[in-house]
Amino acid sequence: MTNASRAALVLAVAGPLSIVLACLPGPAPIPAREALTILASGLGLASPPPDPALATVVLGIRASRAVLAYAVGAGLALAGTAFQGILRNPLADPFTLGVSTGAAFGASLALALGLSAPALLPLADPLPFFGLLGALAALLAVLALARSGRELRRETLVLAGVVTATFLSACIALLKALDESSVSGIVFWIMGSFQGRGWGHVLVYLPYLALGSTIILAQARELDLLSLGSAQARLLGLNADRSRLLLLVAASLLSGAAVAVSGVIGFVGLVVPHLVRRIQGAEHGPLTLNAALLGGLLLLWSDVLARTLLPGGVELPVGVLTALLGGPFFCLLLKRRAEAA
Amino acid sequence: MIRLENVSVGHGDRVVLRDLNLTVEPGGLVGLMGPNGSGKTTLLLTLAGALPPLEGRVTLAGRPLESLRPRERARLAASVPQHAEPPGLKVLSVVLMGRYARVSFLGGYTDEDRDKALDALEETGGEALADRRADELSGGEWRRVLMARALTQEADLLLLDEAASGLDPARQAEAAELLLRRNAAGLTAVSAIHDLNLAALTCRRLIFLKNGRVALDGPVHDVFTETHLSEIYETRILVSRHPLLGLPQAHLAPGAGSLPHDAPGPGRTR
Repeated sequence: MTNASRAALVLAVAGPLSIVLACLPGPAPIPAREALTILASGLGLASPPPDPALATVVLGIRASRAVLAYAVGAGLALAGTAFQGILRNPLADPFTLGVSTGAAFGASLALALGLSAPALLPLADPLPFFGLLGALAALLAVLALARSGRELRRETLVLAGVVTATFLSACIALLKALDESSVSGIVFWIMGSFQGRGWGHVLVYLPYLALGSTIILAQARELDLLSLGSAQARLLGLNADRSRLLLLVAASLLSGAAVAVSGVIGFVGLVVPHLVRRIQGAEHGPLTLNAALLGGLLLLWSDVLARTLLPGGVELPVGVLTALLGGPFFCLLLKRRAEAA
Repeated sequence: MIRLENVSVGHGDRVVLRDLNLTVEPGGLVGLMGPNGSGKTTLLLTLAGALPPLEGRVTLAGRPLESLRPRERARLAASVPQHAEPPGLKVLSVVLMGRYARVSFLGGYTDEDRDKALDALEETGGEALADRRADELSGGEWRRVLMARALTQEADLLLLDEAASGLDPARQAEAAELLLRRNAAGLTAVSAIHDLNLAALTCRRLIFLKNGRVALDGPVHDVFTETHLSEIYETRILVSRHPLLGLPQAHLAPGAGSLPHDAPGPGRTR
């Protein structure tokens, strides 16, 4: 058994296990045994619990939130893996490229214009769609900005991403100032959080996760070829432009929909692919799969930390936590690159 | 195998080669020669389909180049590029990419593909590299991997760009023998080479590019002469016979005075 498949097995088992464990802690004191019984009843494995209020806490709040955090983490990590592969840039991820902030701006704009109809029909909720549009627009702007020099340099790309993200954050703040009534809706996009998310958000997000991850997992071989550069990929028979476009759209889809349900959560897509590469190498077949599995775990446990770290039921936005983790990691990558050069 | 009709190639507005008319028969073993910047790499890129010609028609195995889809093209022509940055992938993964144009759209690489990749690595002397990371190889090792990848494509046409540069003499000889062996088995090869003597030993026909045109084209024995070479490279070059193979070999003569004033006129093109 290779390192990659061993890692995949461990990560795949750890996923559901972690979702169950994540339902145990919380501000409402529920004994672990009782929480597990409620979870089992939710799956139809046990008789319904005596106290429906506790069931609501465990199934309606904790379980949905854990599943959403896992799914968003998987999506962000996949998007980061795809961006890093296509752009041949180890510093790329939805956050550093400004794609997440673009999605947040798209979703804010939709909200400010009164285009959102959340929780009515999950599939018809336009927020992820506007998130996707914002993500794509930001991506195109960043790529154009980074290319305005002679060549697409790796650090320039991230610089363009940061500039675009800063500009769009200002635009979001402007929207907020112009439209007081949407403030409560918009405010959480600046720093992502899973507070108050439920099964409705999971349903909104899942179709996008399914589509985006199917494309990226199916294009793993093409990602390998693109990591040689498009000139060589073409010589080997790849329609490089089409493949790159497909992957960029898929990664933007994942980033855009993730932002629409959870706000801007940075660095998951940056850190996870690097960790997985260290374990099993850079081949994209196993890399995409394991990055998705590890990304889910990382964000799930970050969210558990975010909501249990502070006493008295006060929550940290999980985006703060991932930034605290990812910022230093980013610096480490930059430093190592500088030493290698 | 290859047919160029009134072809001009270049990058953007910059025309590198003008109005080329060339034919390479199946089984041909052609050296593409010429001073630095004469357009060897540009022409190879065009033949590989990576750089569309600015004008004219390129035909590959009887089919217009622009009508070939990328996968079809990669099954017809394999390239060993001159500049290729090694990725952080395993060598075997890189060699397997030569099979990309031959696997089905949804299926993965099969055991047969894997065997072919390992065979190709063995043929280029890189069998011990299979599990190494490509970006940790030496320059010479990486060139062997690129060669193995091209062989794995099983194309009838091989386009080599300085494939032997950076190799030590023993490896150069191995690479040359590999090329001759494959050619004897029916492979057509066009190889851009700087090293005059290596070209004389490994090619049957030499095409010299200069100033945007074909300056000279013909069998090695006809074109590899003191007059032609001195004219094309604008320095004095002497030619003698290889002691064992009888093929012509060139010698630079720095310090022996420049070309006499009554240098021969422009080289004839055939």
